[in-house]
Amino acid sequence: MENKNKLIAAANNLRYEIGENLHDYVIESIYEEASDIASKSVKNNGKTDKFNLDAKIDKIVTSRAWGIPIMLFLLATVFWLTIEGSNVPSAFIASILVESLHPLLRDFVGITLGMPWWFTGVLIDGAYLAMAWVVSVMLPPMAIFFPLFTLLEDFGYLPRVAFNMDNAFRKAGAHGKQALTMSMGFGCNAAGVIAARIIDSPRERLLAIITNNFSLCNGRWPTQILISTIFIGALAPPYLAGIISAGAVVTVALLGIGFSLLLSWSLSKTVLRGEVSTFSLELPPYRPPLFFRTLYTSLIDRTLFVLWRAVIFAVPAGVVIWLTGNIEIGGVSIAEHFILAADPWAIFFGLNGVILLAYIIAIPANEIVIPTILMLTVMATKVAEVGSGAGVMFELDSVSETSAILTAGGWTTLTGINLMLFSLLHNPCSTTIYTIYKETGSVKWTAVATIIPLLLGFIICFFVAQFWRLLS
Amino acid sequence: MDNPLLLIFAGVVLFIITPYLIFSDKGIFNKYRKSKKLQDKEFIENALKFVYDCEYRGAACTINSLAGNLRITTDHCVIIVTELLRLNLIYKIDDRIVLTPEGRTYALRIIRIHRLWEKYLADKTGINEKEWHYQAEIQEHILSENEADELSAILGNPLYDPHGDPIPLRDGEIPPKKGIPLTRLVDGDFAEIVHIEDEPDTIYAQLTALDLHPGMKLRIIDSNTQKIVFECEGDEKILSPIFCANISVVKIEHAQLQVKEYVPLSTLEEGELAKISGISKSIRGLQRRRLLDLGFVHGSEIIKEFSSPNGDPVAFRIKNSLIALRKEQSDKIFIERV
Repeated sequence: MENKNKLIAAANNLRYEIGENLHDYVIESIYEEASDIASKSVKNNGKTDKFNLDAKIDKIVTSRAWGIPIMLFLLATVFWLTIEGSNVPSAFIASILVESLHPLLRDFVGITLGMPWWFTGVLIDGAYLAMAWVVSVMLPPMAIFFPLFTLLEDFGYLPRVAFNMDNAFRKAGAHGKQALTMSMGFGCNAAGVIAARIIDSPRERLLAIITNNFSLCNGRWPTQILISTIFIGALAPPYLAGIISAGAVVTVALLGIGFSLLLSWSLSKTVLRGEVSTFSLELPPYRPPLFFRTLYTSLIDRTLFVLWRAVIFAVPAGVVIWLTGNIEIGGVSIAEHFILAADPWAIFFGLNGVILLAYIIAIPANEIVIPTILMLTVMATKVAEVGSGAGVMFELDSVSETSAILTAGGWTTLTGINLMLFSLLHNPCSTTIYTIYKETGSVKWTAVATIIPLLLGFIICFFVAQFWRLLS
Repeated sequence: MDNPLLLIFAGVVLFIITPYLIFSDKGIFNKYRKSKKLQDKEFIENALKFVYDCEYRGAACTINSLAGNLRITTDHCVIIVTELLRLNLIYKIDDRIVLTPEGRTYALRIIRIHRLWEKYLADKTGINEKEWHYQAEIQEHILSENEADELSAILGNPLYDPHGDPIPLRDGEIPPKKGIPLTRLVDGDFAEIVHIEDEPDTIYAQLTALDLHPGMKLRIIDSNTQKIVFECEGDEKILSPIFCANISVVKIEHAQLQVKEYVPLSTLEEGELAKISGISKSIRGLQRRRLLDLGFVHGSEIIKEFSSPNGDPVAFRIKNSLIALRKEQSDKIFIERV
């Protein structure tokens, strides 16, 4: 016993004598030993060609003149391919799942099986339709975007983007790799949040997760394009309408990037001040991407994974959407009650009750916001000849018909502009919220990531509405 | 209610001015937090800490010096001393206050939590070093002994806090004070900083602003009663003797320190080869570990390959891989040109 105590005392004394530099010494000697062994047993057969080629590529893609243009060109190509390429398959899937299968299922359950109307409504018009909608709008863009992005990543180019962009992100207190998670967010915010794993510094990773929602995701592009065409394009002479409305959408997307940097900056100075911050960025050697493996893993790991989560959240939301349109209290549906109660408040923000309700019940996916808005508007304004009944989401092929419905619902240019802003600045969809919770393991950060954009959205819409009214 | 001007005004007040008044650094929320009165227990623990500190420094502790340190009136101080006497934590020899063995154990426990917490803040969080002491002053009254043990285990049972003060072991004393004040060195002496006193605030803030940390090596260029000029990690620093008295150093052999070692990595030209000679002590915790793991250790060869379009960060080739570093890091890594 006495010996043991002596030993412990001696050990403690030695600990004080060795001091704090032990870790440095241990690593140093490990490296020394390793390089010793390596120099004895590894022969270098002049494999410098690879290095030279890498160095040449790096010289170009990180150069002052070409670095940024090359990056913008590649990313723009990826987005363009995604948006253009997904139109046809999206329409195809929608024609099968929504236009053909939906009436068939409704007839089958309602007439062949003889189920009551409300059962058919909840199951087919609610749950099934929401799921069908999410799949047809979400699947094609993700199936195009993720493989393309993963190919760039595999080739080794994306770390160079982080390298080029780091200066801007450093000034915002963030990591250059946030440029990548942000780009990923333009595909899908849930995937962008998962992608933040590549950032190993705790503070910067949280920043990337919390601000990812400001990247305009695939589900919001169609909303932006539609509303911009109807309300902004209409302000310009016809031959400029296309360019002006596209410009407005790009402006909203750039605004999102601006907000992302601004919020990163203010969060890193305030609530996230106490988190550890480190920086390291490895630039791996270039290599030809493994095409089929990339295709397979990005489809399975990213596309189907995200889609599955979205479907899980869409099904109950579909039920809720249908129920709000069909449960009646005193002869008026819950949805109309809410819309009537919310309208006087929404007016302060240049929005309306329909929009607010749509953003609450369509929380699982931004893709179903417009169908929900159309359904609610038709219901609230009692336009009889369009739509498929209370609680059944729909979309119209013709922009002018959509415009007619919205105008009948009392929409003005201000409503259009504020909807575009609110579509950028509101809480993330429930799939993303759940993913944020999974990734951070913290209710606090999930709440911050959910509430801050929503508050910002209301504040910005409020001031835009007031200035609009003041100046018009 | 629908006058836009009025609403804009209301919006500014509601969304911008009110949150600022409540949540900013000088806001109501923070004022309230700082104005909370200390509890009796906290006074007692702070008093024990001070008495211990007096004994450690070999100074006498009286009611007056205690009252001054706790920033309370002498009357209030007498009440606290009476309470300490009743609890048998101190006894008095004439005017001097001395710790009983129980009092010493108690004081060491508080000091241990305080220093562990400072170490925790330094290593595991990004909280600015000016706030370490203030936060530890609060935490030392809150953590239990078991929690302190857990914390110590998480931190790898550290021996020194980030200021260079030894952390007491669970039931042990602390090793005697090392080092001499910087003021005692003469021109041409080489020394290593072992401790930087974190009280009073104003002096400590000045020392951290000069980027001085325990573990740094320095050389005295000119020491006189007006000012002390010394070279530390390649930079020349000038301090008045009052400030230098708060820095403890141990002298080291001349040969161990060569001034040319402290050339920052950021001065390397493109394509130039050099050897790493070390990482500044001001890089700690996770960041230090990461750099070491990537191969930034003494003797590693490093080449500057290329810079990003804005010149920061810069890509270096080390151990056959390309690593990008920001300037704030390459300033703190030292090289030897070959």
